[in-house]
Amino acid sequence: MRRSTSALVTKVWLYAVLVVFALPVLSMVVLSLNESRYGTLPFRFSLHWYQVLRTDTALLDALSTSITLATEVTIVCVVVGTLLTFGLRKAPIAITLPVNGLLLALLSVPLLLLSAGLLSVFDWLGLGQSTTALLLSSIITSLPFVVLIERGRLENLSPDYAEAARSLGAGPVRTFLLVTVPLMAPSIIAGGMLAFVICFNNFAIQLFLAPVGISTLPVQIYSMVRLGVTPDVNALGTLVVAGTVLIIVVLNWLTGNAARLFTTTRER
Amino acid sequence: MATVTISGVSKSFNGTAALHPLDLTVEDGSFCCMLGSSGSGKSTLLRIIAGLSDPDTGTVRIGERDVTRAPSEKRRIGFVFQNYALFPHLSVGTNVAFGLRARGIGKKEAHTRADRMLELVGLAGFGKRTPKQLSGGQQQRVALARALVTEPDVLLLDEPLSALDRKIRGEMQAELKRIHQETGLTTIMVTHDQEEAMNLGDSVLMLSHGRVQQFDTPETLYREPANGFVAGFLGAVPLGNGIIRKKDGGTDAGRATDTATGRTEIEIDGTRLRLAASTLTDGTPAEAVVMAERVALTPASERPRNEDEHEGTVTSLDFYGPFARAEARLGSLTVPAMMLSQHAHSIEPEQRVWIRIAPGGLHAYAAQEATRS
Amino acid sequence: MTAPSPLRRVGGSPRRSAGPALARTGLLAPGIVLLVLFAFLPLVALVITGFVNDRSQLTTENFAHVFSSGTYLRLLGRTLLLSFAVTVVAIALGWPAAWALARHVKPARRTMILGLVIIPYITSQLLLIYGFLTLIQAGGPISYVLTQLHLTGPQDSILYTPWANFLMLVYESMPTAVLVLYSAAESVSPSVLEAARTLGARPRYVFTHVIWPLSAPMVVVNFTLTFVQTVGAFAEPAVLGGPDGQMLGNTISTQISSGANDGFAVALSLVLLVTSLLVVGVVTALVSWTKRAQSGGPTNRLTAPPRPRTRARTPELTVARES
Repeated sequence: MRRSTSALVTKVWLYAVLVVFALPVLSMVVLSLNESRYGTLPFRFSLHWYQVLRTDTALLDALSTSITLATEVTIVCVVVGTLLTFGLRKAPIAITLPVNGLLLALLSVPLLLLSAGLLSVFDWLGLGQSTTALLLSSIITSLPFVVLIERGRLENLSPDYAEAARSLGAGPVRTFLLVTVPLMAPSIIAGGMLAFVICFNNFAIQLFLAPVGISTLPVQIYSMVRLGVTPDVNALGTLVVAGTVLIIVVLNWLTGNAARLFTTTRER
Repeated sequence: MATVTISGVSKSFNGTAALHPLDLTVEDGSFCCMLGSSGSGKSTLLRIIAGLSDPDTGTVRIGERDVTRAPSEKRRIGFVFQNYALFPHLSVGTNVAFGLRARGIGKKEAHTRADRMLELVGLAGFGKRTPKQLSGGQQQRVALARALVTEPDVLLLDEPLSALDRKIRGEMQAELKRIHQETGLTTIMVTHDQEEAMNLGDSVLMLSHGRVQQFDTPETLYREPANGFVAGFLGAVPLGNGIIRKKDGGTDAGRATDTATGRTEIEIDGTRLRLAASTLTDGTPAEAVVMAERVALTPASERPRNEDEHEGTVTSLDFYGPFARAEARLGSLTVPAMMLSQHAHSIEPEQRVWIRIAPGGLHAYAAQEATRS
Repeated sequence: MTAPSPLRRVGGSPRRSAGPALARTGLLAPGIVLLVLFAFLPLVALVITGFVNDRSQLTTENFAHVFSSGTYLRLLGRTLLLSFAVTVVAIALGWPAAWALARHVKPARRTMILGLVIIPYITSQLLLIYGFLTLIQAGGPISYVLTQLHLTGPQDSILYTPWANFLMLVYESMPTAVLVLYSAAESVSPSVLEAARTLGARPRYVFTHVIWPLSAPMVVVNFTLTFVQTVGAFAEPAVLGGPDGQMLGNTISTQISSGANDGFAVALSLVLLVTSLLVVGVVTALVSWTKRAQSGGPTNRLTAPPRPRTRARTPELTVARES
């Protein structure tokens, strides 16, 4: 009896937490459909702010900058990350140890501090705040996630498949391309999607390394929030969250349990 | 030490009955085995006794105490889990001392008593190791020591030996028997292994689909299985469906049971076979089951046929190390026979044999009862 | 792969053994170049910049500047304290939820709930901050409901106070807490808990002597992840915290943005990083001390602690080693 009571209490707590998780997002969704100019209630349904969004070039430019950046970063990260994952598999410890150490440092040093270091390096290289600096910094912060996810899959992959292919007469290259890569595909796609998300959201890097005059979406929202918001941000936010949900659904489908991928994610 | 009394206990999960209302008394100091296949409700019943699961109806008493609503930690029980459930973060000694420490007994005394208990289960000096460093059998001994050290009123064992390999299982059975004799603790063990239940139990509770099939001593269970399910679980093989034929008593001189009850036979496809005492009435349709180890085959060439024997032909013979199993055709029936391999040398396929089914080796149950399993 | 068989080696040229090494270099090269240039160098740069002044001379004056001013030390103290509070509160609030998720929710529904948990986890942090702002601002949904109930005035709001910043940071830390503690809860086998109860342990004792020691490694992982990230927060206090809710991250970000004195910004960053790692170290030591104290006896030290099963393949293992 006593146990089922505590089970019920913690379960109610869990659902309460889920509701609280949803509140800021729901608030944004509700206000995006609300007429009010100042994001205040009472609620009067209107699609007005979605209309406004269609002509808000600042926000739309920022969105397209973010999407372009994230796409470029994803492509580079998937290629470099996949090569790195396979290269590390049988590499001697003299290589794996420092590489893993750097990947780990990238995951655990606060991005604010990493940005400061990156800015110094790009200053030395004469790049400063530039699109190249932004691109390279975004790549380096997304790369560890691709490697982590692909490595998890590769370690679980039975060598039997590759050995079977070899025993059937396939050479190493053919085996790699026709057997190993297809088996790795779900984790490569999942790693790519994660790289996209991490890069898209990487506010600190974008704030400090983007050249003057170029705003990604988080940076644009940041400056709008500080200088005065128009409620069409709600509309855009709603659309971005919808995209996020879609990504989670796809990741769940690819990996069986998307949540497992995110236990090292950090956003700040 | 205490008698365990269960009255009217039932339990269902999501509307499916796991346990139909059930009464059971396990006498003080006795060893009761709850036998059944998975899903029979035996573990559910044990967990209800332990307080790990709440019954929907009924009461559980340990000695004089009604513990139905008492949480597990207040029941003074020892519980041994199938997967041992040793605390992975504690040393063996601290595992054993856990129950004492939880009851507020000082560290020093708890560890002294734990060491003594480890000695009792044959693991003296293992206290400082971690559970991971022990073999399965050793872990099970630790689990046993941990359950015993608190001097519980009842020891409850949930398939404690099923994860062990055959040889260790035999050793652990002997160990359990010895410990039960030494401590005199009321013990209830769940198992799906009939040999284990027969070997260890003073009494065996046979469960199927949440209902008690039979509750008896192992001998009675074996000699007089209450129904086809119990007989089948003990290894009896279906022989066929037939009709019960009663004869008047006294015709067969020299057999006390026959003179008292009369002689009962079952007729299957024209073959008449003598049954162990049966309460079924003349003319009842029934299914017969036979225990292969109580069937003897003698080559027809050795001697003339005795009166209680039937003529048949061997159809197959297989050796399983110390044992051999033969099948013989008797009319339209196939009769299995189990024997020691050393006795099987005179038998070969296609041979004419005399078949003798020992009294008590053949049971018959009303047809619908025999099919329930 | 296994070593080439002797049979093959007979016909093989030296190239066969050189081949894989060469191929591996090809695979590793792009990644390693990127890592060295943009992970290793920035970390080195952090240290060097901190010890160099405007005139490119080696100096400790940046650090002297940090420590000479009570303002920065007070801000540092407040940042560490606030992050500590945020982390502890997030863990405390996340634990029961994670426990319920692992124990009392049907497996089929679990995937869906985990999906809901990671929505805030991978939604742009700025959108969340903005969403939170719309939620708590005067006239926003919460204010509206409270005003309708006559509990607050229409213009009352916690926006632009340290509380808004605190709640936002807790909110952002909660998904991590739920996910990591979910793994912890999963790694405590139900029968071990039942065993403790049959041995006479009351719920409190079960918690302190079984659940806590078995979950402690994951709690440390959780603490490390959340604390180190919270310490570096600057967007939340900048948007929500108002003048009294600023953190050291704001000072650092202002310094970096202005580009006026990189050395000083970096010195501040280094002090923040080192002190926060110190806090993590102390907390780790404390947690393992409570764990050992509860498990009774130094015997555990002889062997490696058992690794929870679920941790083996999840990425946080690598992070756990760091702590």
